[in-house]
Amino acid sequence: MLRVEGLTVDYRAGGGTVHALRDVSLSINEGEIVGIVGESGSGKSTLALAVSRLLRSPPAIQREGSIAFRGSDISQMKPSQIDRVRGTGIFMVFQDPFLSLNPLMKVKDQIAEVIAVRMKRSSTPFDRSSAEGEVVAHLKTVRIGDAEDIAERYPHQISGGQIQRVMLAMALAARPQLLVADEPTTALDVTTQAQILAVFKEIVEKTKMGVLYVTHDLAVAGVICDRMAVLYGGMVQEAGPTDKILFDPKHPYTEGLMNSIPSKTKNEGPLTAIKGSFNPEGLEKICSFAPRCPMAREECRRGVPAQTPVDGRTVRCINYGENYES
Amino acid sequence: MSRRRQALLEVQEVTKRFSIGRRSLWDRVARKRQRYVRAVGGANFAVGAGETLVVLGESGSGKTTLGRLIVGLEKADSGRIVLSGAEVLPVREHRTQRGRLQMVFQDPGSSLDPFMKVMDVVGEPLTRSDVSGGARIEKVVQAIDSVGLDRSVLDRRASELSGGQKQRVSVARAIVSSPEVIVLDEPTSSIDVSIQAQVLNMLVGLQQRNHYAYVLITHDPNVASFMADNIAVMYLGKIVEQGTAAKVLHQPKHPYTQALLSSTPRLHERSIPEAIKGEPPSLINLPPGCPYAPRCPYAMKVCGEREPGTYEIEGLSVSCYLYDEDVMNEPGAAV
Amino acid sequence: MGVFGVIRQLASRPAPLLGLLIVTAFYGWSLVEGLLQLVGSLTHNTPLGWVLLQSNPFTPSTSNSLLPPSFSHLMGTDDLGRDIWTRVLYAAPTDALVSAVVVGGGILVGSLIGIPAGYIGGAVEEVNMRFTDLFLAFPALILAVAIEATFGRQLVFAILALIIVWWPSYARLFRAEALRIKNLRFIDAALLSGLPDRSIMAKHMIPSSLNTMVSYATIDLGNSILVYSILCFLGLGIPAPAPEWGSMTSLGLYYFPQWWWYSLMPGFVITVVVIGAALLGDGLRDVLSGGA
Repeated sequence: MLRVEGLTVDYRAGGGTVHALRDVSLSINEGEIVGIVGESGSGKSTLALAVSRLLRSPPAIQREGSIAFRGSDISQMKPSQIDRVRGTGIFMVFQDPFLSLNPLMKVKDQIAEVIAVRMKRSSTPFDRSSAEGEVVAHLKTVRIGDAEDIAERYPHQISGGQIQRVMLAMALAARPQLLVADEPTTALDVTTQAQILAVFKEIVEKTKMGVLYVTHDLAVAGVICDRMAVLYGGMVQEAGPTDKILFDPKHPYTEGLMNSIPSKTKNEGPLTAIKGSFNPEGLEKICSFAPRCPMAREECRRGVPAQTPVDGRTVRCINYGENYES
Repeated sequence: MSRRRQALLEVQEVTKRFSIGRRSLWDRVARKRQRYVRAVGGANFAVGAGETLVVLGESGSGKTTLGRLIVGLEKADSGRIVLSGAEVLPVREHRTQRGRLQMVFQDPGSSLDPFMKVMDVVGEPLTRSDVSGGARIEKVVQAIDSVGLDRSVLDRRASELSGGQKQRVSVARAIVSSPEVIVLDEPTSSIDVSIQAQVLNMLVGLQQRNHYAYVLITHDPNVASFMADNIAVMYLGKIVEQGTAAKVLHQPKHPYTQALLSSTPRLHERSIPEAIKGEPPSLINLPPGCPYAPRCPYAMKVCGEREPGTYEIEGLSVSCYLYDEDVMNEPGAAV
Repeated sequence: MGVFGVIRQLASRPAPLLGLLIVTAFYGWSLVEGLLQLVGSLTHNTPLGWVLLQSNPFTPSTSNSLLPPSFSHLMGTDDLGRDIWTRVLYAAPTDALVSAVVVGGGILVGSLIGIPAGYIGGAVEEVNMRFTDLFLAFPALILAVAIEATFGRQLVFAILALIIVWWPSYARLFRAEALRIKNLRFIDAALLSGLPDRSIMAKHMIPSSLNTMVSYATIDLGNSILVYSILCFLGLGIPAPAPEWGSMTSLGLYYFPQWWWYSLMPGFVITVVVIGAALLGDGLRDVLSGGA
């Protein structure tokens, strides 16, 4: 349903060019939750914005690649065509709940607005009272307490966790085929996050929508995603079924990321940290992780490694075969 | 808990509340009640030199306020903070010789004055001390070295550094005056996971060499499991459970601790963690009784009436009626 | 980012670049010419003031009266035959001085009143801000008239009048900045370091607030020139024969529209400088906040 092929996006910023995404490919089918895991500078937010066609261009420039949604390349569509895709085709949930809703409209009116758009696109007449009924039904589905009461409130009167649930209720109202979620639970407490994750899974099972779930938290990705891709330096370093990657990580970065999550006490010795920090300079022609990689060899700098199939997933690492990007 | 040694830092029944909204003349005439947020209620614990106490809690638990109370950035409404037997006075009223208590803040962006050079930022705690120019520079360089930064950052402005570097500078500033207690408020929450591991390792190393007492505030049980000798779990301003790290993390007694730990997604777990129902209530004018009662699966009638005391059980201090023998032995106690 | 970095960023787009050039040319010229005039008057060698100019700005020449703009007289001549472009150049340092002193004075007084108001709050804030409100209500022109009527028509009194009406806006700006900065974590760190309030205000509040204020202050330079020119236009500036942009524009009105250049040329120069300051200020705001 969504197929991204070879997506390469640059940013022109402050007199230089940042290679935000390089040759990123992925696909999402119906009812699948695909995770994108990366830290800051990995390009994960750029990818989420690119798929939702919310990138500002300039300063973002798509150099290569395509984003095929239901067969058509939305990356080449004009804004008027994209407008018709948004909402009922692709819906997005953002990280900061307090920036997601219009502070001047009641919750129920904002969800009803989405229903109105959906009705208009399917040429069905919009009936306010049945729409309001649908609003409350969706709020109940996302397990918001006191749905009727919340529907009448304004965004500043409800909590962050409740706002994210309202966004998911909006997603249910829009009935999109693809949901792009950019760190939807990062700003929430762990206990609220657990509730939202449960709701996520439920609505995906119910509606069979595809989800692109962007996060920096490997554990969250492990819990909710069927397949995932690990991003570093704008490139997909390892991608495949979540089980494979979590229980048998092949790429040194994926391993390093897992070891960085504390799982023992300090008395058992220091954490195996990845050395250094991400520096985008000088990475154009070599493996982007090489400067920090504990397994780096000379061959890592001969070119950009190509994605190599290994044990049911792909890895971009010379240690699994000397394949380079041409 | 360090009962065997004289504790370095003691927090005794500390309470802090903030008034909200400004009462106008009309409000006073109409006898409107001043509304309060009870940020911290009756906190009690001790930390020894070279030990780490982790204050584990989510947002709204009062953990940041507790941290600020310890170093004196806030003034407690009741109770005392005691350092080596002497009371810690609020910093706004007593500006004299500080340096024994220091703090590392959560947000690297606002922790450092963006227009100052790193050299001056790290040297600031020494401005009021007797340490002179040359010796001061030496201490600053030493501090920068010990947090793993290259000396070239000294001449750069704070705004030019990355998030991880800023946190290291923050730590350097905290250690330059050779403090005894360092409060770290979510020191790694705003930085990447891969850098977090480096920073945590560095903090452990510094503590081993210099025997700082750390009060580390976090919402992340993984960070707690790595760093903590002891853990105090906070919910809505109250410490609901405390004890050694192993006991709190692996045999928690308080229902909130159990729920918090079970809702944290664990790496390699493929199923959604169990969630606690409901939302935390507002901190404003809390209802009587145990703050967790509205969401607690084991709530009894008495839980909504009076706040529970603290009960010692199997090496843990728990604030929950489930461990109050009198309550539990009463016939028909459970709701 | 450094001063050079800022300049480079400003120069990269046409509008700020134009503003930068205009402002640099204006103040640069004013500095040089102003020093010559100053040294000249101190050493009783007044001709020093026009050594760089094509002619003596004071010497009348009735035969050249009211000539239109040409190659020999870029802006034409006035009723006394004096070259207008020369007089404009000669008068420039006055406006430059006024703008620098008024805005500088406004910032100085404004910071002394506004920063403690924001940082300390409470009674200090109340007293300072009500005091500020008092002065905010003064109309500049009326005050200027009153002061000059009492003390005489001299440049220093015009400047004084302007500073008095200028500082309240800065007081408000500095107070707002102090309120914002005092909640930042590095202020907590300074408190923990034992710094007294006055050090915190000087070391931390001032640099951060000045950074925010630089673009506003730059545009304000233009505003102050405009207001001063209006004062002169209304007859409150330095008396003739000293050239002054506002006065020249005013006098020139008697000869409008037939000898349009007399009034319009000085007015045009005022406009160019004010717009230049605005463009530069705008550019600075973009560079210092967003682009960086």
